[in-house]
Amino acid sequence: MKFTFSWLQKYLKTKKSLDNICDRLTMLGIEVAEIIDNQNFLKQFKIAEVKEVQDHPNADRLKLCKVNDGKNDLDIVCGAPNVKKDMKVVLAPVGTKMLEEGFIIQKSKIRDILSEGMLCSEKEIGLGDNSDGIIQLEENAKVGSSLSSLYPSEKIIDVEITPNRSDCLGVYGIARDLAAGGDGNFIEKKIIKIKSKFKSKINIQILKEAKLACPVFYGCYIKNVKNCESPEWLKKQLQAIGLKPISALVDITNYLTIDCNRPLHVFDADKINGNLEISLAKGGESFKALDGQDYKLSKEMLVIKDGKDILSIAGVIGGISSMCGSETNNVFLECAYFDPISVAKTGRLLNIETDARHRFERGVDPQSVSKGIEEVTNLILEICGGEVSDFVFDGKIPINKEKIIFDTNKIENFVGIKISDKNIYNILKKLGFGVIKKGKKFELSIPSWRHDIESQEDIVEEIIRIYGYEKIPSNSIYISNQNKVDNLCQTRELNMKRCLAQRGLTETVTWSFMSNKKSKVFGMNNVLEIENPISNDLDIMRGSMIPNFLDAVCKNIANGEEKVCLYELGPVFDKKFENNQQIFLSGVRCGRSKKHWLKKDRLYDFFDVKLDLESILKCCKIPRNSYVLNNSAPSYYHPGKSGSINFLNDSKDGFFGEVHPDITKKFDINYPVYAFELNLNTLPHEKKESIKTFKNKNFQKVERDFAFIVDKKIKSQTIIDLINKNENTLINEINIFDLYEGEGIPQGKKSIAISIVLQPDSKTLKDSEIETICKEIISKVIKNTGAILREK
Amino acid sequence: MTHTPMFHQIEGLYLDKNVNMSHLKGCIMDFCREFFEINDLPIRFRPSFFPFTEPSAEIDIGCFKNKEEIRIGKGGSWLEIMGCGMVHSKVLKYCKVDSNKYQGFAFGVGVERLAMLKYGISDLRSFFDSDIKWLNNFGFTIFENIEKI
Repeated sequence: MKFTFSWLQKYLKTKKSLDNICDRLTMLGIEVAEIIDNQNFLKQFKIAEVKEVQDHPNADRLKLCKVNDGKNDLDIVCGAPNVKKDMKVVLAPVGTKMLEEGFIIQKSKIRDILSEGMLCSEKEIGLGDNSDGIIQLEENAKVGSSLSSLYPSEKIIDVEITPNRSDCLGVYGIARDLAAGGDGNFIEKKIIKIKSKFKSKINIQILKEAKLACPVFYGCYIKNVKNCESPEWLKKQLQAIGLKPISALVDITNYLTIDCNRPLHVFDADKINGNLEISLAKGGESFKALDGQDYKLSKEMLVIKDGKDILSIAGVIGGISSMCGSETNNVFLECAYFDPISVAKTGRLLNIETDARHRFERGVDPQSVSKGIEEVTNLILEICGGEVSDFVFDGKIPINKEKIIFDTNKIENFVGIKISDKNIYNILKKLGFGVIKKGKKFELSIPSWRHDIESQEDIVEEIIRIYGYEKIPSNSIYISNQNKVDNLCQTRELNMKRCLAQRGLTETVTWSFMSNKKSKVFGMNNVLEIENPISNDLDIMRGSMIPNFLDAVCKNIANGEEKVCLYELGPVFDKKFENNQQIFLSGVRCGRSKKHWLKKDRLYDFFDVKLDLESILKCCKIPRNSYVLNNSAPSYYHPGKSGSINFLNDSKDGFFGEVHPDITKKFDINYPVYAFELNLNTLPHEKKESIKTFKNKNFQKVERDFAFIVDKKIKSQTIIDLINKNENTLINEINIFDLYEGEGIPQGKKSIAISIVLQPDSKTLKDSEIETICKEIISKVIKNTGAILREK
Repeated sequence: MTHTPMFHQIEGLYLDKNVNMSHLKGCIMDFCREFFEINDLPIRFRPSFFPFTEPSAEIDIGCFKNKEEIRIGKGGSWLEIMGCGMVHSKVLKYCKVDSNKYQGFAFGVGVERLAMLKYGISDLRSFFDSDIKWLNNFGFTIFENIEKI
């Protein structure tokens, strides 16, 4: 909300400076967003007079003007349609810094003709919205003097009012808070009683259905008014905060809205047919509002109707059909209390933002209904003349009779400081509370303008807000178990991240969203669509991190990176998951390893990501025998160069492999991309096992190699598992060291060479024992896979 | 650019029998000074409004501002960094906590916002760009701060 210091001083007698007051406002909870000072800006402009106007020889729409700035005649090119001889104008001389950052007026040639300045529109100097033509000043404006002499601008204080403090949406309420804070004396409004001479021609009635949305409505008829121009003081007051004066009736209502958070509406009484009725819309009615727009009303919207039409959407916006103009003679005044929720709903549905809506939906002071109508009537009679009728009204002013019993110990208990009872009493009194001391407690009645106050905590806030947050002491907290903050899951996540970082991947965070279009490329089902996405590229929750990784790979390659190795730990979304989301650890590798003088550089491959995944599992102490590797990765992986990791039978807890080349091609990536994904929600927890005592196995180990010729479709893992299941504790290591197809091997077959290490722990093995074990292994593999032992 | 559709937030809650606003103040001040690594960092609490806390406060930290830069520390200007307050008794009631026995404070702060201020990052989008050069610039070594965990 914007206001000036002098406006504030109408209600606050203070010796403090503007800067001082602004600091205080912020510390009272009324945050000063900006102190706007346009004095220096306006000083740059000069009042000038157009002496001559000619057409520009090279442009239809431009004019050549001779403009006198009080000293010299300047040549100025002007494009405004309204420029004419003898007009008093606003001149921006060469060197003027305009509103737009960095725009400085310079001597320049416009279509070959020199221009020595610029003539300004309202918009260009921030005095209004009009940009259709240049400003025409009054005829008596003094040529040569600065524009700031015409617009004696004051500094504007722009404050941000929190939604609970609607009382501070008026200058009056702000002054009250400052006075309570000890920054001056509050000057209360004195309202002169109205003497009426006749009965209102128009009556009002709140229909039963509308009583909740409109508990009270006051009105009065004023005849023989003259909707003239506002007097200087009123025009200046509005102009000072950037509002454009329109006509006395409009200006008066605008003035009261800002002055004391009291929105009102003035109808042209001659345009009202019969009496007024406050009711709920039936739905489907159309209404032409003051903003020139047509609105379709929905059921339950609160409206004000006459015998024929809907005249206004209560608390939101008035209508064209009953609006006041210069010809208006008789007016009917509306001053009411509308239910905040009703106004908010209507405003939101119709998407209308007005000062009135803003205030009604935050709550105006119900008591201001009767006081406000008197104040505005007085102003209208004073400025526009006329005679006023008796007030007509319906409904009752809602009064909050709730009392709060406030225990003063609550402050020490809640804030950690002691404030004396006398101090508390004074603060509450100045804020407008009714205060009665009852023993050690206070019985408080709540001011009508403070509908945000409900409980003792609210009272605590009021008191310390005024007393000063800066006076609250600070005490450190000491938590005794601060060494055990991380739980097992968090520790594990951290270890996994370290493990991947150590393997040369960089942690990243990508969007939790992706585009539905891309999800189709990936063949994702069960996607979670976003109802109101920020853009089409981010319209679903990601079903995997890999699409986002591909974007990242693409961008980084375009930036000249030779390799991109990234990982992310975060949520992945799928309707098949419980609560639609689970936590994944995923990574990507693309490009080639660094050049090295001893090693050949190479492209990353399948085994890099397989090792990434296995390293994570190893770092989580998940033993190799607790999961099975299958080749059941989703279709966005290369069917022959991918795998899945399964803790239960084909549970698909993770995937790894090459991203399908058809997909990488669509992302314009010309290198193979390898990725892995691991669901951390289904990752088993490490079994806590105590470390066994080390037994010295100082007996000779034995290594034996076997080569089997098997069907191509037999997985090497099957063979390893078979040997493992031998349950021979002597077998310590199994390694595949060769894989061969081609010459010497029959079609459709492959040769797998395995080396096995036997490690005895109680005696050295005899040849015959070794032979027995080897035979067992060979026969088991042959029996289960149909393998043939390859002879040397 | 200071807004993105995604951001991260740290929320804190401390409830006990004798926790009051002075502890909230102490906790936030300790955190800010530790995080920004400035022992005499000016910190200001001012009244504000949040639906879940009463009384509520916004925290400003001191900074030096000119057209080119914002530097955290002493310097005459203030920068808002987070909101906090004493947990509203209604919230406790709905969580079935006896507000006559227990009370406490809560706060919330944007992770990216803190990082932007500490490291002078001007564009919020860069956090989610996966630009390796950027990540390496702000990246931390594998074992950094391990003693604190």
